[in-house]
Amino acid sequence: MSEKITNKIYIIGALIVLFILPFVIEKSYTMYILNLVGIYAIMTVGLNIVLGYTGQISIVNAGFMGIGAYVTALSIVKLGIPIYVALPMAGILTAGIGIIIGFPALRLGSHYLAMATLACNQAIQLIMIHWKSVTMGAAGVSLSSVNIGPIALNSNHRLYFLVIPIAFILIYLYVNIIKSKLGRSLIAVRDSEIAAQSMGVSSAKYKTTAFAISGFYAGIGGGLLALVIGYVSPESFGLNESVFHLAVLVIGGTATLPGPILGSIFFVVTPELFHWMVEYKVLVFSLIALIFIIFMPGGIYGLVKSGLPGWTFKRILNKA
Amino acid sequence: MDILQLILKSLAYGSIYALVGLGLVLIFRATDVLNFGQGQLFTMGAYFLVTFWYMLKIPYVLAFLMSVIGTALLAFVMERVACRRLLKAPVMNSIIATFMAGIVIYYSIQLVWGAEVFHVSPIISNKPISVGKILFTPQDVWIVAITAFFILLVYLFLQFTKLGIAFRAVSMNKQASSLMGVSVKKVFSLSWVMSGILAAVAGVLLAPVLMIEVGMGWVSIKGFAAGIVGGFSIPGTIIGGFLLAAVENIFGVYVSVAFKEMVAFLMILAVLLIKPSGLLGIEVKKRV
Repeated sequence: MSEKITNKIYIIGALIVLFILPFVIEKSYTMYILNLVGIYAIMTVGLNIVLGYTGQISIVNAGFMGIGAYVTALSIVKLGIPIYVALPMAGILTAGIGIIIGFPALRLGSHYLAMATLACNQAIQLIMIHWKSVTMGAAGVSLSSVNIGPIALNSNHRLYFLVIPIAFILIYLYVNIIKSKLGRSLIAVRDSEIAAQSMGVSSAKYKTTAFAISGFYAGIGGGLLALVIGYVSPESFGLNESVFHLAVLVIGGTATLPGPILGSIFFVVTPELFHWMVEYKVLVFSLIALIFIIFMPGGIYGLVKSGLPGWTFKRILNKA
Repeated sequence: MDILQLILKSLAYGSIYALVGLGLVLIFRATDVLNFGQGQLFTMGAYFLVTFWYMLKIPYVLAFLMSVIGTALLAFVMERVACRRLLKAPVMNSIIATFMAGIVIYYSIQLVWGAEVFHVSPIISNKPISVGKILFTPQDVWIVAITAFFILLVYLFLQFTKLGIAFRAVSMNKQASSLMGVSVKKVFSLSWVMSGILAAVAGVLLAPVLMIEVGMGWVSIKGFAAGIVGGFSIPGTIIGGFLLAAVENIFGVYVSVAFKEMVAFLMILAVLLIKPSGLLGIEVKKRV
């Protein structure tokens, strides 16, 4: 059997499993966790495009996500816009802001870009806190019972049928982006900007595109998060959240296709298995991410692919 | 308020920004790594002071020294863990590693000291004294004086000692200096230790001014701003620190207090977009 057909079988199998899950699982909380996995997968997949494949460090993902969440929540609560308009709008608006934030990337190298995006994240959070007339300040916005037509999205089971299909479509899109001309251009810009430029690949165009895509993904993810949690406040979109996204990506495997998805599963599910971890979640994850980035930059996916972890350790021992 | 008064008021904060920025620049110049965990080293300095002086009642001077040594040790370990192994890896990895190391310190502090906010009474009175129309506190003078002393120390060290010359050689060209018998790795450790010392001094000095809490480490963003404005040169960063504090205070008075927080970010973005090499920086031309 050719690889293409096996891949299709896997995808169809995964779809069937994902479809059956909500009918098998009765616990609402489990569905909530599954929704979170989907949302984190969406957001980190976008981050992977800009950070993993284009090589532009972005510490502004939580800011993007916050913009998406606020746009969704405010347009539903204040303007009464239906969700199927609000959610794409959040994505497109965040993509626009992604383009603006991508501009520094055109001139700046690694460290400077990291700082610029970090500053943007803090600035976005400050705007959320201080622009009280629109964002309602630190008090946040509550979202209660959102409807799609006649259906009320009032349970985690129902939200699942919104979150997972969107996640599936966006991840499918992401795989295709990476495998298309666009993806190859992004990788070319990452590997050698000068070589790419001289081959006619405009680095400016592709860098901004990458930021726009990551903005779009984070915006949609943030919008969905607002629906799932039902409450939006500035403190959820601080630097910590951006660190989370980085950690998810590093743990899962940067610049690998399934990396962000594996990372999201690991990130959301492990604290549920070990309850003592909930309190020290950030500490544990940043520690794990630190260990991964030093010893196994390939992340979980790299480990799975290379077979035994011993192999990686041996290589490091040889190097040292 | 008088503009002269405003500028004088920002000297104390300016020295803190300069110290934090200088710590960043020392590491950056020697190792080409930007330490995103610098703010957490600064926080550690303040927490060490709280522990040694406030809790254990050790005399101030001794507690000061112990905090500085403790933080320097931490910086040394951080270099070994998060920086040394990643020298040959892509820059991105070292950014993420120092960042994560900072976060680990951040949450370890929360784990050890709790989320409690500490207040330390100032060692020198903070009652304002007026000279003519201008008001200042002895504490501000103390902060500026100690900062000036440490900056002078760094300058003398870099200018006149053998290790300082080695440091400057490494910051210019690693390969050539290692061929001349300079131990590059030793200089790397040295730069981190020096940066840890500066961060601790800043933390200890600022401890009575600010509330001591885990989040205080985000002052490192101000240090970044100082570094960027000064183009990551040592004198430039010091000027950048004072400039940032002055602009912040002026904005705080004439625009709005809420906006004051944004000044550092806006300055970072403005300088990066208009003149990424900074005010005193040297234009670096990349070879293909």
